[in-house]
Amino acid sequence: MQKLLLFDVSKCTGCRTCELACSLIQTGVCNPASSRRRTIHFNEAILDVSMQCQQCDDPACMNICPAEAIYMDDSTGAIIINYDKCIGCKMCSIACPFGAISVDPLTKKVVKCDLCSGDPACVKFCLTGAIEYVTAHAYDLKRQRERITQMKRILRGGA
Amino acid sequence: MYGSTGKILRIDLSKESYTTEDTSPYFKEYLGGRALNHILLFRDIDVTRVSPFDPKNEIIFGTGPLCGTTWPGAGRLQATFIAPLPYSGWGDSNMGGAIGPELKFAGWDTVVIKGKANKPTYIYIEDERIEFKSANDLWGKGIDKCNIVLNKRHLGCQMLLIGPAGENIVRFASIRTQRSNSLGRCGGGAVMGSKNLKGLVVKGSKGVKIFDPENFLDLSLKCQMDLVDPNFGSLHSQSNAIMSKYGTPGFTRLIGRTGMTPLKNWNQCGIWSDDVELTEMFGDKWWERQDACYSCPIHCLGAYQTEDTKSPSSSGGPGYDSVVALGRNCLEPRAKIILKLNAMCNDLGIDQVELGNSFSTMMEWYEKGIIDEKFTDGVPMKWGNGEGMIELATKIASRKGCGNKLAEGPYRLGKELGKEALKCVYHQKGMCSTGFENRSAIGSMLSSALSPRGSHHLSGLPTTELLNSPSVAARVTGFKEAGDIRSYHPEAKARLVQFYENLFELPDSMGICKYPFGHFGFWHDRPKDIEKMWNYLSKALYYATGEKFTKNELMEIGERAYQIERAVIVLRGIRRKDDMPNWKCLNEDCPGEHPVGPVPLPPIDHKKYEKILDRYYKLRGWTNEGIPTRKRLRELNLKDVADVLEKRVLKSAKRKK
Repeated sequence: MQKLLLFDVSKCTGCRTCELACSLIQTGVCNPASSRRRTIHFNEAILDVSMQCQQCDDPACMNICPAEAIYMDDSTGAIIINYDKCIGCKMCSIACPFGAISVDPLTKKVVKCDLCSGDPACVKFCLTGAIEYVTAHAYDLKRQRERITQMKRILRGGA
Repeated sequence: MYGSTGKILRIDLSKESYTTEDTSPYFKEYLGGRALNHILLFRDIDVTRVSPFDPKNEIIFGTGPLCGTTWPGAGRLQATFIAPLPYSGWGDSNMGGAIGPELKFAGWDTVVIKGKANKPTYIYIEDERIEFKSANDLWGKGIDKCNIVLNKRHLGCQMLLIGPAGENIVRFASIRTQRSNSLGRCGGGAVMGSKNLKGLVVKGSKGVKIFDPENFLDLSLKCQMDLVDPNFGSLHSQSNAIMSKYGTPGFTRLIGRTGMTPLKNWNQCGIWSDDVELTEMFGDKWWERQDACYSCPIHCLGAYQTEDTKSPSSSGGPGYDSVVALGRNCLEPRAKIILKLNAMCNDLGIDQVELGNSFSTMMEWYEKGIIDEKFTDGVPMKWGNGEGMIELATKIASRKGCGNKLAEGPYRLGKELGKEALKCVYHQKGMCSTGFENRSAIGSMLSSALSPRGSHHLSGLPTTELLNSPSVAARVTGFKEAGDIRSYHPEAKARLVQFYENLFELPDSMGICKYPFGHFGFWHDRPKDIEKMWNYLSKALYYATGEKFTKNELMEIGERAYQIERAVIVLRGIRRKDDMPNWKCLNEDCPGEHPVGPVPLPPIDHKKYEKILDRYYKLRGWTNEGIPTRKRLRELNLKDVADVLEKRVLKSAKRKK
């Protein structure tokens, strides 16, 4: 079963190690600007949100690509750019509703999350557990358990 | 270069111009960060004569080779300048956050700023683009407002800002980032204010190159995981858990039980029965979440939202030292007041430790009848008068009314008020202490009294002594006595303090945080971990930079950096008499309730202390007056420092004879 890369906003402390780990493993340089994942800090709300490619089922980037350079990897489900075909028009970057495809300032190429071929570095470095790489089934089970514990607490007269 | 970016940016505000310089010639001897800042400051300006507010004075922001990498806690920025607060004139302040890494991503290891702008200015750095922008619309505004304006103007940037206190040259003004971090101590904000410099706004896209990415990634992941592993098994892993949950205020009661936490302006210590709100549960009601510095798994910065602190940067909560200075020392038990004062300090740009010490000292003066209401414009400085403190903080930042004299700091105030008043000021070299009662531990007393920038625990807090760990102490110094908190053993204590002082220069010079740095050996009670730590460190440096460093080479870098600090303060007039503990430590008992150590804590034994000092000076290669000798400086390849010292200090001493 394919796994999902998920993010829990309530657990993120804004340390941005995920960005560094991502850029280091992908490019050999610690550089958030070429990271495939971005952590946005919302100052007023005291909130950090980390975003990456959602690996959509019906990807806008893939549909718009004039060179047919974007394809879905069968084993991980990741949407991947084939640089042999890519003409560098950046249409994918414009089409993505999440802003998850960016231009690497060093290579000047469009880059996106490829799930590190099924072993994402950001997950390993997220020690608060805000980023998870799990199967949809496992994630659902976990959420259900959390909700039930919450209900139990309320039923026992907590609230 | 790998690790370091290899470039120093030199900005001249008077001419609105900049030049660049290579970092590589300095790398092997200074690494970067703190040690590099020291030698740059020493070579650039006439450290003997330049006053803090002279346009010739420089303020240097330095990162290090590991800053901005995946290494745990790799987000530190070091500021060095000639300081307005301590009378030694040594300005040295270090913080975390994201601005240090951002500077490196923009391609700069170190930024040196000199001169004075002719109008309010902020510097915008985006990679190689350096712009001097007008700060007319920001001048006079609080940091919170500037924060919102600048965040909109330069999306995704990091910044350093001063508040109204810095603009009005309050001697203990701080420099803030947009989140939870400040370069608080020594008055760097006032130096920036005197240069008409509102701040630095940085955005980078170039990144930090790593020599061996694969191995570096593996090693840093291992260290990150060790830090949060509850089964790591040392005392340190227990304290990590507290840090992650409550931040440093979580230690207030714990340290209080050992008698090391002061109370009532350093007149008492230990357990305080009124401290319910200021302990582990600090600010529970208003706690929002924990913030982390760059690349740190510990996340020790609490973020709070009270009705007064809805604005962004002021939500960054106080640390242990702020809680002790504003709370326990002033006998103010209400967390709400501390949070309000903390938010005000964050917005106005004031150092909370010095502010707290100002208030607590005034409260003691008021109790002793040295000052009355008139001194503080009608505010009675009674113990625990939190509302009065809030009123005075605004006045200090604007230097209005009595705020004008209070902005000079407690040491200068005390000196003006006379001998009796000065006795109440708990300071070393003119700067008041952070929240550690030095009478409780002899080695800590020595390190605090010797510290070039004035009293604080970060110049070389001998943690093995505080943990009462003879086995680690023996490994570090060769003497079991070094681990005994009450021992005056001259050789053991002198070696212990020298070791920790040199050691503490290293994380600051690498751009990493001292807290995770010590996790693998020196912060706890397991001697076998010490070698492990050296192993990790030299490996990390090798993987990041491609240069090999041995343990001895690293310790020599620490020694070199410390000797430069000493040379500067000696040139500015510091001698043996300034290394003595303050009046309270030498003459007064410290009563208090605590299960560890003697009650009351006796004052420091003057004669025995002098003996440790003698031994310490010898180990350092200093004269009997604490002046570094030519021989020692030459051994450390500091010939130019030795030359200046000889010309300015040793020769004039001979002439006097």
